[in-house]
Formats: sequence, structure tokens, C-alpha cells
Amino acid sequence: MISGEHMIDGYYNLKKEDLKNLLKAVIKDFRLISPQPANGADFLFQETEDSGKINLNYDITSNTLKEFFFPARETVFEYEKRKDGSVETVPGADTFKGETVFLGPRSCDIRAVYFQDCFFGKEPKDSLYWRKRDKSILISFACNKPPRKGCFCVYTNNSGPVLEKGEGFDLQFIDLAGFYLVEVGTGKGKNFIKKYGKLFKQSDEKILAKKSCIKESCLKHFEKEYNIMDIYEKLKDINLEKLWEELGKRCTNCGGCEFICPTCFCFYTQDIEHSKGKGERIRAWDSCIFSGYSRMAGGVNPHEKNSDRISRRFFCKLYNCYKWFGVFGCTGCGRCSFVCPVNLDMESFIASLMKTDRYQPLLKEL
Amino acid sequence: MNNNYIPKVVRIERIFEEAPNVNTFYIKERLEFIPGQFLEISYFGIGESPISIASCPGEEFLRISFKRVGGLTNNLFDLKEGDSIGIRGPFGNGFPLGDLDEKDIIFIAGGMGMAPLRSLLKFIFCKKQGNISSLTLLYGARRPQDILYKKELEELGENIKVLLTVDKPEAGWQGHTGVVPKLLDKIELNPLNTRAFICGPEIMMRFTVAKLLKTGIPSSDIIFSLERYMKCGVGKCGHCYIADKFVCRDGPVFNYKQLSDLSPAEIL
Repeated sequence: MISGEHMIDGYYNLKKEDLKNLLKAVIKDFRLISPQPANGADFLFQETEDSGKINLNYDITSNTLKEFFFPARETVFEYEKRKDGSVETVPGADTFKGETVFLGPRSCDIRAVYFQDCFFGKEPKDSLYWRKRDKSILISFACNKPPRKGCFCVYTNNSGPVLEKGEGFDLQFIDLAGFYLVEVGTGKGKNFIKKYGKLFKQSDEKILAKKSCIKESCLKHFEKEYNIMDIYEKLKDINLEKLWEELGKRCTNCGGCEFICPTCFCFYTQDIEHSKGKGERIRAWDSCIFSGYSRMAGGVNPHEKNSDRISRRFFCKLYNCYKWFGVFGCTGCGRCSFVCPVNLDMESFIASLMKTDRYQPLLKEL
Repeated sequence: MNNNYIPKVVRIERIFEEAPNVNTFYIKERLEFIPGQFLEISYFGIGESPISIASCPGEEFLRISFKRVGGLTNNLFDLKEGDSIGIRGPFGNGFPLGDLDEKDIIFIAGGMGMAPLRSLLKFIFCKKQGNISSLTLLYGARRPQDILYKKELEELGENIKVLLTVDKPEAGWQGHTGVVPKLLDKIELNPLNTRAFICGPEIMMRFTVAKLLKTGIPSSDIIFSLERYMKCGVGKCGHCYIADKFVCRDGPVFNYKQLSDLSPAEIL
């Protein structure tokens, strides 16, 4: 594990009627972020002090955990220029308010945090990310029912529906009708159980066996058509220029897929002057689909064409990320399919890729 | 864990006009670095840009040379001696300095690409000269007055062969005319004993590499420094990656073999 925790064996049962008591206790001791209904049919991860507002019977949230650890915009530092020509800098304040429990994320959400942990944990570690992430406890709620349309976690190297130890959760709750089977993933999870020990009962092997039953029955609902490793190999071995060109014509460069994506990590920085000689440097999400994304001073742009940027995006997610960390930059949450106005989301892309018959050996010029 | 995005504030000791629209800042800052590494330079209120270190390790001043090309560099021209800028770094891998003994070393620079190569040239010239078989510099600029470090290059003397070329010659110009790769026709190469270090605009590097490969120089002996939009310098912001490499962290110096092995093969 990135955070350097030891794996600890441990399974517990929590009675369903005790969940309310647990939530109440957690709200007293921690900041709690949980899925809540908002704006009609949408669910959002939001901070709450009212356990009654929490609804764990949801498919997927419209926002992702990314925005809590790597916000859409944050202050890197503030500066003030002095009369003598020198400049004073002050680190941006930590806006993450204390120890926080995230209760209710789905398996795909957890896998996305795992990916970002790998990315922002690679040396030199990203301090702005870790000062928030280190104060967080992730309690995931595994999926135990047929997926909604657009879920494909199963195909992205097991990003769901039920996770195993070491895959990113501190605690995993598995709904077993009447009670939850609670699986400890890390030391943080173990401490949490200790803190609320009265509510948790040691589980037994018989109950544990139900975990795999739940997993099996959920898996049956996915009609497996592909394996992401085939996609990886295909991207590596074949010339897809024609496909990129076609997709490039469709993409509108809105960047929605990347802002909603729980694994996308790109950012830009910008100085904002609030008054003469005084201001801040912010960092904010960026999108590699934007035309000016890699444009350099002087105007040279290595990725001027839409098709180049589309190719980079999918290569990054389905090839580079795996090469870097052994996990894909897609966890199958399917959120990009909600926002893309031209059906260029990950699942459609994979479908196009599987259909494309213009397989030619990669031409290497020069 | 420190906030690694906060620059250190340093004072500009001296500003020197190298060429029209090219200035060099002299900064008194003890910094350990390797030729070919770069700094993120901040002008507070405008932002940050990656700029090569032009000085050689051990020189009294840390130097950066920059051209007026964009938002940040435009503003750097407004600064006066005694003013402050922010620096972060050094970042990147730098030029490989090993295994140079008995080699014929050739530096090939185009325009501002001379800045990181000045650092390397100076380093090899001062520290390694006795062990090197030969040193050659091929350098091209737009006009004669755009040639950087002119005086220093003249002072290098007989120990290095310097060939200069410009796109637009003027009366009195005694060097060559035309693009940098053409200078390769004017020298004799021993392909199996040559190490080439290249920095310049991508199009110039592309033609130079093609020509060098034709002479039979192994692709791993063709080494160049790439330019990309490197916003963070530490492999996080995402802007500079090529295939699965971050230019700011895994580069900016690559040899041609490394780049041609990448998939997708994006450049050069």
C-alpha cells in the first residue's frame, strides 16, 4: 500500500439497525462525507452532520472523490511583493477540515482513489494531495445488485463490483441482507473498528463464504465481451490513425469527460493578482483534450490536431497508466458516458476499438 | 512533506543582453545541478515557465538565458538588477556525462538551444578536455546578431572547432548560410566514435537526427534535449508526457534509441 500500512486480517458483522448508530457516532468524532440525494435523481458525495440525509441505496454519484483530495481549484501559495524588490510567499492554507470519513463510495470510486494515490504518491510526492488524503478514511460499499447501464468495472481489471484487501479501501461493507459483512483493509480500518468495537461482532467463515457468492451473482449480470488487457495489446500493436481521425472529427473539446473522470490528474497553474503586488498561485484541473493543452511559448503545439489529443487521452488511460502502476486509468464507473455530448466516452471508445478492422502493423518512420 | 510547488525567491544580480530580445540573468545561488537540467522560473503575478540552466556547475553565478516569446518571458524583460524572481529545481535528468573519454564530441545547437548546450560545452571543455578526442560545435541562428555567447565562443580558441550558420546573412558575415543540418556536410565524422548532443527547435532536430543516422552514428549516441510545456517540473501536471515518459522527469534529455522505442512513436 502506498500509505505504508500493513494488511490486517479481519472480518466483522454489523447489524443493519446499528448503521444509524454508527453514523451518529462517526458524525460526532469525524467530518463525514457520504452520498446524499441532490437535484432530483442525482446523488452527490457531500459533507453532512445529519445522518438522516445519507442514502446508501444509490447507483453512482455525480461527483467523484477526486474533488476532495485534488480540488478543481486550490491555492498553492500566496505572495506579496515588497518595496525592496523581494517577494514573500506563504503556503496555501489547508482547506481540508480535519479527519474525514468517506462512507459509501462504490468499488470503482475506491479504485480511482487507489490510482491517484499511486500517481500523486510517486516521488516527489504531491504534498497538496497527501495532506488531505492522509486525513481520510475510506469505507466502501460494495455493489451487490445488477449494475446500472454504463457500468463496466468488471472489465477494467477488477475495479468492482466487490473488492479484495489491498485494493484501496480501509473498510469494505458488503450488504448481506439483514447485516453488513465488514472487511478490514488497512490499519486505518482496524483502528476504526476498535473505536466503535461495541457495534462490530467478529465474523465467521460461513459468513465470509457469502462474500464470494455475492461477487459471483453480481458478475453474472455483466455480459463479458472483452478484457481490458486485449485493449492494451491492441493499442500497442496496431496502427489506429484512421480511428483517431474519425474520433477527432466527433470530439467537441469540451473536456467534460476529464473533469468528471475520477482518475484524471492533469492540472495547470496560474497566478492571480488580487491587488497590486499581492496575489496567489492556484492550481486547477486541466484537460488534455483542450487545444492549447500542450502549446508552448512561441506557439509551437505538438498536439495541434484533435485526433492527436484523442489518441493521447485513450493511450494515457488504457496504456500509460497500466505501464506506470499496473492499474488502468479507467475504473469502469461510466461517468464519462453521462457527460459526453457525442458518445465518445470510454465504453463507446472501447466498442469502436473492438470493431475497427483496420489493423495494420504500427508504422515507424525514420 | 514540504509544499514542493513553492519557489525559492532569489535576487537578480546582473542582467546581460545576449542578443536582441535575449537576456541572461545572473543569480547568486549555490545549486547542485547537471548540465541539461532546467529550472521553473516564476514571475510572481504572471506564472511559471521551464527555462534551461545556461551556466556550468561551479561557475560563480547561476545563469538563465531567455528569449522574449511568451507571457512570462515578456515580463522578465521588465525586471531590473536587484529585483527578485522565484526558482524551483533543478529538474529533469540532464545530459549523460559518462563514457566520454576518447570520443569525438559534437554539439549541435539551433537558436535558444545553445543555452543548455553552453552549460554542457563549458563543463566538458573545462573538466574533460584532456581526455576528449575532438570537440566540434555546429550552431545556427536566424541572423548574425542572434548568436548567443558570441564572445565566449571566440575565446574557446583552437581546442574546439566552431562552425556557425545563419538563415539571413548580413554584410560582413563570414560564417555559413543555411540550416544547421547542412553544417554536417562541412565536417568529417567518425560515426562509430562520435557522440552528438543536440538542442534546438524540433524541426531542426528532426532533420539533424535523420542526417546523423545516415552517417552511421548509432542511435544511442545521438542525444538531445526536448522542449515541452512543463508546467510543474515533477511529473504531475501531465502536460509534457510523450508516450509513457514525462519529459520533465524522465527527460528532457533522451537519446534517439530511447525515443524510437517508445510507443506510440510521437516525435522525431
